[in-house]
Amino acid sequence: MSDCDKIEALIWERMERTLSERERESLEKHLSECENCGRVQSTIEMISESKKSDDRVISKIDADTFETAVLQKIRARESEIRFKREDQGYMFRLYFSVGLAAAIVAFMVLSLGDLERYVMPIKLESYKSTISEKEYDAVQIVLKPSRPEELRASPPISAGEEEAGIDDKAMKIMPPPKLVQTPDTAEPVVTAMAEEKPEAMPEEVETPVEKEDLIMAETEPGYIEEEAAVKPRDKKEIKHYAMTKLETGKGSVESQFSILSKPVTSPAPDSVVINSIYLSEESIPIASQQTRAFLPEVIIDSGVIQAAKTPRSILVTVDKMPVPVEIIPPEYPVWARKNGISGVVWVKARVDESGNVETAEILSSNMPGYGFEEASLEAARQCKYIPAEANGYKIGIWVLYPVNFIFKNNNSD
Amino acid sequence: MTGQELPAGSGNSDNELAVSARNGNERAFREIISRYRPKILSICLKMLKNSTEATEAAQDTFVKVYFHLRDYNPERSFSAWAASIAINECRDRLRKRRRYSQTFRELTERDVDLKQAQADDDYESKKKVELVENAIEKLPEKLKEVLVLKAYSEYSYDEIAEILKIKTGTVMSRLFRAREKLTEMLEKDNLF
Repeated sequence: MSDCDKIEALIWERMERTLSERERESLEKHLSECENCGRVQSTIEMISESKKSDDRVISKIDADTFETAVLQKIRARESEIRFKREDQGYMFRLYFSVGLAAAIVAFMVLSLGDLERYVMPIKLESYKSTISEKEYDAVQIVLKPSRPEELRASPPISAGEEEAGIDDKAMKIMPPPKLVQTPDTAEPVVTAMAEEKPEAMPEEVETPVEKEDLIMAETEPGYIEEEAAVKPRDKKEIKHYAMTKLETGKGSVESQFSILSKPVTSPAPDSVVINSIYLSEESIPIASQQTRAFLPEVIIDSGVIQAAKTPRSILVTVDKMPVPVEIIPPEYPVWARKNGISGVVWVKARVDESGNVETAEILSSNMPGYGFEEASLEAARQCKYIPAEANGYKIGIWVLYPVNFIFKNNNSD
Repeated sequence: MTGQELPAGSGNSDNELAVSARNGNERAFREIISRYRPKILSICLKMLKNSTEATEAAQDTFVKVYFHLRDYNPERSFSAWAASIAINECRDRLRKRRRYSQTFRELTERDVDLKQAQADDDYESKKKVELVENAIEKLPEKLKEVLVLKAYSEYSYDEIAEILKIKTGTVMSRLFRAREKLTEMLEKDNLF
């Protein structure tokens, strides 16, 4: 170490401690001789001056404030660490739930294509539930049973005669005009029917008709006036007749057609009364009956059924028409109800050998787009019948009936 | 932290205090703070050149000291250990400052406190101090560290070697080079 280095070290040391007498002497002696070390000394002196300036700044910083700040920071960090430790279980739950939610969302997104299928029925369901039970009760179905004895009495119609205008007539299905009854005429009929005995049934009914390939019958137009002559086969039918007549007696049938002729378009009511829905056979023109007789699937009407069931003849006369056992009233479509719309839907339903409805179709609807068709079909499929019989066989046949949705504004009543 | 009493005898060494603080003695830790506050602050002040940031850095240094007391080896100098933490803290802050140089441009200028402190001096010494400060600021960081630890915090060569994890000879040579450069710069400013 050279002299200058030693001197420099001494100068540095002078900042920290007071030098001894000898050291100070040698330092001063060297500084007076060596110019370079003089510059070193002045540099270090200036540094020490700057240090004094710094010390004044440091002395201004309050010791207590400093200490408090340090301790506060420590406590904050400690609680942070503690929180993190305690938080591990919570974080696990959080991540788990977030993951689960993500999985559900992913599933929803993936099944977006089917979303409509899941969501829409729910919406429809909620609409349906807005209809009160009162309204359900207001829906009544009136059914006219078949009258084979009447049909047999009527003259047969040749196939050739009827082939013209088949389709036109088949599509133009109208409610039977004779159903429009006044209450006065209906009332005595009920009593008349009640007196009828089931055993008074003519014998010809049971015997199958086989002599002709095709047997046709024409519906009597004014059959309701002759209702008393009809002999119901069992108690059920009597009851049914009674119900029908009572319904007619109240004038509901009449009102139903009067409303139908000019559909109500008043604003939505609070509740709706749906009048009778009836199953009828006589409204199908004979022409269409005959045409369908040639088809493998046969349309029946007025108790005359042409079904390819028996081996000897292609067509048979149906002895017993299907009798509805369980009639499910259709729901009045919400939109139609809200808009005050009435409508008639003609339903074609196939009743199979066991009495269940295999399929149901819409023949016509005068108010499409309001849900009448859907409601009618849904109800039709749930109906139960006593199956039709021909030649002692139970057969599956088609039944046709109109479903009348009658809108009645209760507020105006 | 618990409010235990300090070990008997007022003349506890730094290392004893550190061990006591490590065992959860809050008063021992407070003692450490009061003892080392000036040294740590001077390091931070010189390195960061801003009193507010220096105070914050010094506080963070003590926080780190507290949470790393169990890593402290009692056989080594506590003051050197604390200083190394302070130096590292300052290095981190300088690195961040460099990264966000735009934001910290104003902070690198001498702040109000330092200027007020200098205002008490006469014009000559004030000018001198400012020139020295600027010269030190221009030094490379390695030389600056050694100079700060030696001149401002008054650590010995061995301690500086321990703090910076370099050899004592390197400390001396760096200090020499720092002083040389400083002298050169001051000569340019015609201070001699």
